[in-house]
Amino acid sequence: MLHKGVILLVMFIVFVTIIIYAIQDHGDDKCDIFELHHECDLSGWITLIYGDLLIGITLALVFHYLVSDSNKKIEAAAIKTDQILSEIKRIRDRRATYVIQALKNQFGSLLLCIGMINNFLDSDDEKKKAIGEAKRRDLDRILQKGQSVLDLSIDVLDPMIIEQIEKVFTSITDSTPIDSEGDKIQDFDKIKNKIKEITAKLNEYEHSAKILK
Amino acid sequence: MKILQIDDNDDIRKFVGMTVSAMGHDYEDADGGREGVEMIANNQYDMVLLDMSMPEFSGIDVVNDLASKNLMGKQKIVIFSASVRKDDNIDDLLEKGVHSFLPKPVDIDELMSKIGEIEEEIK
Repeated sequence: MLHKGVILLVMFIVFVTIIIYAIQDHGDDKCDIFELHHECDLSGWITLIYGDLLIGITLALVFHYLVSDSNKKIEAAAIKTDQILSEIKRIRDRRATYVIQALKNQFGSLLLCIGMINNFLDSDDEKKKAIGEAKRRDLDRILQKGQSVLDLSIDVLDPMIIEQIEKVFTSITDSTPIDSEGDKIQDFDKIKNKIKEITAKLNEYEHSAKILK
Repeated sequence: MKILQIDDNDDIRKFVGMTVSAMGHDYEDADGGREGVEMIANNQYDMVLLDMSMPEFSGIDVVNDLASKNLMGKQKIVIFSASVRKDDNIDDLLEKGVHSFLPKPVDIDELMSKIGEIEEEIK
């Protein structure tokens, strides 16, 4: 900023000096100040031409300085923007990895939990039946945890996958009526296949995300 | 049979543990690869259910560590893996003595059938 101010001040002083010198009476009574004639003194003209050249060069230097200064600022801003964007992408990738792992874990837990409920409630052993009944309470907790992981995945997962996962959660809830103690989870095979299908999609998603990194 | 499960997921350990116990087997678990290797080194298990994807010390790390300590032959290791076909390390793991793989998410029927299969082999 100081450089620019000094340059502009010098330019102004030079400009004023030249103008003052150029319009000075050069002691020739026959001629006006800027009269073009072979008998007239042309030093006023020469001074103006040299002065204009000097100002032109100075202006060129000032503009060059301003442009390069502004380019440097633009480049610095572009680098900063790239850094911010790559940081956002890094955070998003980490979130996607977390969400995919967490969802896969929830599906694993769901499948085991429903499997236990159905297998154990089907058993003649009273102890196993009691375990199966206890697992029904775990199921609700796992579904809630799965739903909160799903809420985190809204801007990192494909909306189609999110919708499919929500459908699976809903179908499990619908297959588990609250007042149906002793009943098995309905449509387990259908739910199982859907969970396996979505897990395969999440694996593909994870695999392609790793390739794109 | 005495079965050890190595998995960092509490729920999965809990459900597998209850299933294995309900089947009449002795069950122990480890919350991570390093703890699992230590337990294998200090105890005798017939079967180890090992999760492939664990942070810090994965299932592959466990197998490599056990192989380097000559502990692979002590027990039948079954790996839970989400990408059995795609994983490039499958052949390497089988060469090192891994018994078999179970696809994730683990289905309880498949798990019980695998445990039964290994029980038959041991007899």
